[in-house]
Amino acid sequence: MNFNARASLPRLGAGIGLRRQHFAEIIDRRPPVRWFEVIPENFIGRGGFIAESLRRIAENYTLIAHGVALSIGSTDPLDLEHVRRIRQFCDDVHSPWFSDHLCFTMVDHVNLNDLIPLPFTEEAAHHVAERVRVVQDILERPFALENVTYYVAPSRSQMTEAEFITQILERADCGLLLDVSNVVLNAANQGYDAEAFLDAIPLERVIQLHLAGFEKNGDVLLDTHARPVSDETWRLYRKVIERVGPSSALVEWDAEIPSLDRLLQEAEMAQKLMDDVAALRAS
Amino acid sequence: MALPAYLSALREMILDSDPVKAADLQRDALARRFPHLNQSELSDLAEMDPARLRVYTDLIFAGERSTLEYVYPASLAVIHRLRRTAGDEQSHRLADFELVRELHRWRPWRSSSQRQLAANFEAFIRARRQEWLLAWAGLADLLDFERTELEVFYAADPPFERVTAAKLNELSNLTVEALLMLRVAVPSYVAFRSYVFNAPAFIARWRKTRELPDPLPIAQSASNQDSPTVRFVCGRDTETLLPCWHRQDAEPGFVFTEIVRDELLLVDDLARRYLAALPADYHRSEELLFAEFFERLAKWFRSGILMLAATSQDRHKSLPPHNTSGGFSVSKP
Repeated sequence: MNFNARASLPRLGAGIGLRRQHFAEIIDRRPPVRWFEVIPENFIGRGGFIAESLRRIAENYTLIAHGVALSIGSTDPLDLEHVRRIRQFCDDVHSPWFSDHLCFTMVDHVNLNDLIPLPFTEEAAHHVAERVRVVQDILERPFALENVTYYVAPSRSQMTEAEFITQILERADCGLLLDVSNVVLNAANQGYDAEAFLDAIPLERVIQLHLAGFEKNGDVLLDTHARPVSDETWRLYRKVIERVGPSSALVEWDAEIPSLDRLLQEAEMAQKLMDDVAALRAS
Repeated sequence: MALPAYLSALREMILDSDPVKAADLQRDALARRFPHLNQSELSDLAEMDPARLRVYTDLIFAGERSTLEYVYPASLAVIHRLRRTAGDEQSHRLADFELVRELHRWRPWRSSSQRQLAANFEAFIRARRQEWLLAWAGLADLLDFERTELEVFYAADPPFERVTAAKLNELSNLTVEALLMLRVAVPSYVAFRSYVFNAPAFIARWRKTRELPDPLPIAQSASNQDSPTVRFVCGRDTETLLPCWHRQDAEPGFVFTEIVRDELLLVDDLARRYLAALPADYHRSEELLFAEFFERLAKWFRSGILMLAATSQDRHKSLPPHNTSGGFSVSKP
């Protein structure tokens, strides 16, 4: 079943991440942004300037929540209180769906403060799918998992990354936030074919896309989110759009954050490619 | 498959491992440490490229350093100075990285809360870097100042009404009696501090110039009971919602210290505390006293040290009957 159609999720076009550096300008100038992605962990339990800015921005824009601390793959107990706070946040900002990363960020109650890949095994797939079901039940809205970068090759003795992702999405019946840059980066770092990867995952479950810049460090590409989207990523993004149709695509830029206008330029590029593909399809 | 053991092993290899080991050595060590791992899992882990694992190690500790730099920018600048003065020629970046690693070994970060990492860091400095605190006694206060400011900035909104400039204008038109009958509260985010030096002034200057004074300002040892301290209160500016500090020893009285946060009281109560705190030889006319009180009240409102009971609370919560003269017997000037 087509996940998008079933969940009647909107296809929002190109958006950008909401970052504190831009709050004042967004409130004062009200730039034409189709939507913002917000990280709930940056707002939950916070008041003052942060809460007031979010309230004012939410009055004028569509906000989509994207988490960073669910640690869905961890073997520590799922933090249900955190999931409930996420649910409340999504309700407050009217986020039609919620996403987080297919990884673990904490284990043995130690915070790794990064997205650490899981082994591509039956046990891990089963474990994650079970936890996704619990999360979806609490959220009462579609939930999407994002494919992450991995610098070390986790256990591949049982399945490939694409098989691992597919198993989880289908077992848990959840959506996919496809990070196109991560596909490019993993393909380069792990030596596989990016388009073959796309062929092997359930693209009908894509409900959102991510695009970000990365940097080369020795023989490895690092997912730094500190650079413009690469040409290679734009090419793959176009191919994804050709296959999944118009979507909700986000340009991420989390370090060395540029001006709002520069970010909007990147978003416009993402929108233009989406429009070009739609026009071609229509003709 | 033993997923918990696999994830734990991966965590240890990233965060706690010694420098690169040969795959066989790594495998033996992992087998001893994690007996539930099967042969295939041991091979997977042992054969991971150490250079690639190091990417995670570097990213994680660089991220923690970044978080600490966000919370403690001036304190870290002081630490850099103290290290240099002590003859440490290592680059700040590398030294900070090692510091964060040592912090992790001493007390790992156990939640995604920035506040917990900050608390760990301050405890670490007290426990493991006493030489810095001895070299400059202001460091403990500076660390506290920077964390406090961030906590005030992020604190959840209390269930009271901010007194904006427009609202203050309305209040200034009330009669004295009506003003004294208003219900107010000191919100829970307000922080009272005593420091051994003027930390807010020090930070203000550092933010402007990004340069530390040389030498650092004299600061007595905080553990010395006789050392003079400067009292401050930190609230949240009602217009910008940014933290704002007031030096309290410049006030005629430190009227808020015994007030329970988030608990409603009448302006009248506050006025009585204010008058009681004035020095015995402080003689002014009633009009002037009230004008001075109102001026301070306005300042407390503007800096979010004091907030108004929200209208709905005002309706539902009643306070005991009270003689609402506030010690003043005059009409507002």
